[in-house]
Amino acid sequence: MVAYLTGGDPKPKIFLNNVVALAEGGADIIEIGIPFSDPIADGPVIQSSSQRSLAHGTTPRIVLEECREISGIYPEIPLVILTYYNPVLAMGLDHFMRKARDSGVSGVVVPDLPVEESGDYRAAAFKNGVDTIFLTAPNTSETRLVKIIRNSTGFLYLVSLFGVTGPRDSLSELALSSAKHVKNLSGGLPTAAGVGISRPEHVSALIRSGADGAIVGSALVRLVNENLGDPEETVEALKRKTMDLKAATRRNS
Amino acid sequence: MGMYTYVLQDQNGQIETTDSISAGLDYSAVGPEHSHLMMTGRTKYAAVTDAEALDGFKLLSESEGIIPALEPSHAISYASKLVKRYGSKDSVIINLSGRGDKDVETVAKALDY
Repeated sequence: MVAYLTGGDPKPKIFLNNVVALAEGGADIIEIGIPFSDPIADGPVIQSSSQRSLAHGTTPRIVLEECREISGIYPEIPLVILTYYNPVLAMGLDHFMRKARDSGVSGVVVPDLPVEESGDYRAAAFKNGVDTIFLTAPNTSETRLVKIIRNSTGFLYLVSLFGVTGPRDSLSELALSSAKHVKNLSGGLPTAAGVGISRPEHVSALIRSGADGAIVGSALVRLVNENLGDPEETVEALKRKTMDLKAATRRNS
Repeated sequence: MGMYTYVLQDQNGQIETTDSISAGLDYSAVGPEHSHLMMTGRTKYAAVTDAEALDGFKLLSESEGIIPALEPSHAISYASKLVKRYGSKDSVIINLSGRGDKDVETVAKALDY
């Protein structure tokens, strides 16, 4: 169970409490987004959290600093950064990866970086011992899939639908068949399915289909969006939701 | 997906917003070919304001009866200054990349017609 929140959102202090709620709710991996001005892979829920966070002055460095705090509190929970490529380029590949490593970050997901363009990025990540988590989609060709698997470390991010992030009511057949298909090719690399996954039954269906994990983002960020005036309720709601999602990963074991 | 090119951004790599009278230029980045042409020194780039572009629009419309799009109006405006460096026997070529009938409403508004 991979739980996502946008870094610095809605405010730095509240953000840390929200992450604690994910950890206490049983998240196995925590994924923190660096808010970006042009989040092309994100739907309205994460877009609004990104804009809110940027409006409060959140920078990539502040998010990395937050990661350092989180990994200090929960050294046993792997931390993953989700960022678009331009902030990484602006900081410098090696500098970014070094800061990530020093902040306790295990891996990085860059949704707008195709594996074909990722040579320098992978070299910098490898040098600093940071995992490169690439994404596959249901229409990724087998040739590319093999290339993506070969260049991924940590886990593989299965995009489970055609579209941007955001909670969906139902899980598509495509998500399940793609989880099965990729599992057969991924060798020892764990897979986690994300995008549009919002309910415990989605999680358990994906795990049954062979995914090693499920990534939930918008369904959690939505709880932040809906409780902006009530930080305590946000924490409660996040913890409850994470517990429900985590329980769904156990149901079949 | 994506491209590696010159882009208006802040120090953290956040993309800055733009504002231009020409819809075709109201974008934070340029096509990567332009970055390549600039880096290899084959092309020089210059900046032109909205007001100067409108001057270029009027110049070609009034002198030749050709209504240029607002995008090449920038080039016309710049060229009208550049020609002062050349003699009367020299030729200056402008690529008129689009026609301006699509822009007349924008121009009418900007010029208070």
